[in-house]
Amino acid sequence: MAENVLAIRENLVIGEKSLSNVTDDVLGIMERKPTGLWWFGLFLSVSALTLGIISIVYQIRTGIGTWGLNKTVGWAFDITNFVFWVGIGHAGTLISAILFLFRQKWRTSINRSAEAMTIFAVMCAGIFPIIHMGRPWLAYWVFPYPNFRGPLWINFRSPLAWDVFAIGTYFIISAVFWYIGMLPDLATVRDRTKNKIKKWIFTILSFGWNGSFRTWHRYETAYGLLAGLATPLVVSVHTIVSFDFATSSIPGWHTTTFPPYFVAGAVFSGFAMVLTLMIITRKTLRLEEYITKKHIENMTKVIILTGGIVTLSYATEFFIAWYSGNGYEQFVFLNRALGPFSWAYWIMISINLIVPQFFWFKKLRRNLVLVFILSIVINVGMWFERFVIIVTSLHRDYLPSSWAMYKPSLVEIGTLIGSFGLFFTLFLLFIRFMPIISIGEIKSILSFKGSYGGKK
Amino acid sequence: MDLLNTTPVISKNTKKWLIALIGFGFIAIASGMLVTPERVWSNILLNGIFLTGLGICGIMFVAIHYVSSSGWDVVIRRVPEAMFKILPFAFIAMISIIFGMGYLYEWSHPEVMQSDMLLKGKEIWLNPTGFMVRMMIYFLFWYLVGKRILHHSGKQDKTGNIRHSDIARRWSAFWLYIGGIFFIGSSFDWIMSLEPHWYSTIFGLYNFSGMFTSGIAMMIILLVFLKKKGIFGNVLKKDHLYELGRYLFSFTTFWVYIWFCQHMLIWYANIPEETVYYLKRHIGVFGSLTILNVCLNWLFPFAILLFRKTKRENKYLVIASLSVLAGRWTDLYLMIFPPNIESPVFGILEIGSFLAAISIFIWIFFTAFRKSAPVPERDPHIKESISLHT
Repeated sequence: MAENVLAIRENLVIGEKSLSNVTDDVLGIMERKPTGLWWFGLFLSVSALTLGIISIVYQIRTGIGTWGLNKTVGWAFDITNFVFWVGIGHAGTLISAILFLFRQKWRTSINRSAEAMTIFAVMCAGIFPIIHMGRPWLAYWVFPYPNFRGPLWINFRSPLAWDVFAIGTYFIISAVFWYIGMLPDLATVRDRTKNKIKKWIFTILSFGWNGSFRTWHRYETAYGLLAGLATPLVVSVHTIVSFDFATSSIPGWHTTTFPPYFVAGAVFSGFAMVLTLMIITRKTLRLEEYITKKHIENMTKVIILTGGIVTLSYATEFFIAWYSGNGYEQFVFLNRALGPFSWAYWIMISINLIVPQFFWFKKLRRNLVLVFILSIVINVGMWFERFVIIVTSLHRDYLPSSWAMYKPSLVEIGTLIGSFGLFFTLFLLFIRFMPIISIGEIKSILSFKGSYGGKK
Repeated sequence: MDLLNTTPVISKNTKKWLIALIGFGFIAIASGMLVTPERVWSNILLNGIFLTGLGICGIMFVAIHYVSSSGWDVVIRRVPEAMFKILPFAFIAMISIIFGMGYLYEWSHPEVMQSDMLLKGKEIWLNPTGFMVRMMIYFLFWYLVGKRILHHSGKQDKTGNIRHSDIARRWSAFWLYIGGIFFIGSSFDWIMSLEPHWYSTIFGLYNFSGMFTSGIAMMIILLVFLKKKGIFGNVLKKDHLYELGRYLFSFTTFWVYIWFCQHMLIWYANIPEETVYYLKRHIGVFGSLTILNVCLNWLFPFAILLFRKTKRENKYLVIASLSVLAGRWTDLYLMIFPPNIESPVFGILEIGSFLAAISIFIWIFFTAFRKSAPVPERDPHIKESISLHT
């Protein structure tokens, strides 16, 4: 029977690995000295991060008047970046929780790094609304702690407050999920290392993991439960983010399809980011045998699906804007397509509509250079999608005398670059210091064709 | 394999019953036509959409599993394939709407269109010719492309060639991409335009979620019945039904998610053009039905199927599925009846026409199911499916 299944299913790990090969390959990355390429990447990321820190310090000291906002366009660059980063943060938990519940075994090679990416992306997202508060040192006011400030209380009826809870919960659960999944591998690091300090650190990090039957049993129960908990969270986060817009009565924002459309868009951009990172990682860390072309291909298929949903939403919105007979609604959509920001609109449409269509062809799905370029292009397109939704719905409001344009200031651009710096710095540190592939889970999907000891 | 038990599934006696029920339904419809034609047409529309949904769910289920290269579903694939065969009959019900358009759709009256500025602007879309042409295009696509998928699935039984799976996969992707758009369009056309001033961008997706959930529920009931009849021998295991139970569980939750999004956003923004839809459905008996709708479609099946044990018991699976099917009827009733019927009605007409629709479905399903082998034995994934263990 086994041959029959294997004949039509591609192996997820190639190179006839044995159990010990897997451990050596994955942990070898942490035990080797970092390459020059890694140092170069870290240098670039930390530079970008520094620029971001300078911008942030400057705008907090001076005030957010340093931004390009005006009375008409009250939300622009910062919220675009916020939605963009939250969106990126969707793929990780989708891969680890939903694909776990679907019993999709191909997730095992990429889930660890995708989850890490999720956590870092949510951290980047958090920067923007906190600065936007104007007085970020009072950010803790969003938490419903016992109130000593008189009759003031958080406005629980505002979707902005729901955001805090939705994203906060998502961050905590994703982080716990990621960490629990890492426990067996952390214990492996602990057992392998000869360095005393490292052993001490990993002894603490691995929570006394002993690999017994009971430990594994508890671990798998906890993992399954967390996957079940994380699944509705994946959907809820971007649903609530979409509520920030859709609960208003602003034409172009208030539309009932926003929640599922935002979720699909988030998964779309998240998978594009996973692809970007994985294609670099597998190449530079020589993990081609673990992150195979099959994995890349599966992810591009998810991109076709979610890209299709996003395109369908654009079409539906446009159609219903016409169908509604509502002049304001119609104006917003025509203004998007033909107004002063039409360049942004057409970037968004052409990228998000056309790029996924390349992936209908197997040859193109397996052409890694092309996939890599397109994955970056998709993220540009998805960034512009948020920009178009936010800015074009605001800049020409009901009062033509207050119509205005928006241009980001250097400070805002610096903050955006800084968020990329933070993201890549954290990711580069992660691939150095943590097992980036789930060793325990990879071992469970090996085909065991290799001899027991494996090739040395 | 010892599963080809070729005794007919429905006995002569059952056939008599089905004919009686279909006859009963048609008599109810015919006599109702004389008294309250708008109610009769609402019923025909409801049942037409219900039957269309079962067919669409059937082919969609097959297509999704082809596209995703799933293996576990091969054993049960002939059931959704046979469900798909209801589409031509659903088409007859839907095309007959041409005679009752005046009772259902405000926009089909030229004088109304001329006197209403908003509706006048929609005339290019909302006109009887366009409505009918679009309906034909939808059905032609759904059926003809669906037939291509089934053709290759059936051909594989004879040749065992793996190529058929590849070709079926391509047709499936085509079906899902275009057929999905058509489904959204059909929801706007057939249901949303009953209240031509009102609009909601999520409406197509909302109707999709209800359609797919009820289709899965029907599939579970049919599979449990066929298993009891011994059609599948020991090839169909608890594990397959468990997987379908998980499907049902997740899609009922998906339904309530979409339901909540539409309801909550319209309620929160409180724009009169939009709230008018829920205003009608929040008072009196329609209001109670709105609550019942959520209970039947989500609360009951969710509570029942939350546990691993219940998803592995036929009894609970069937109870949850029946709840979802009743929920689908209630959901469609709430979408279709309030625009044209002042106060809620439920009587022989509703019962009769629904029983007739179900009887027609059962008849067509079992006839179609018997025409091919109950299990696609030569599918490349068949062994993987038989050895499914959850």
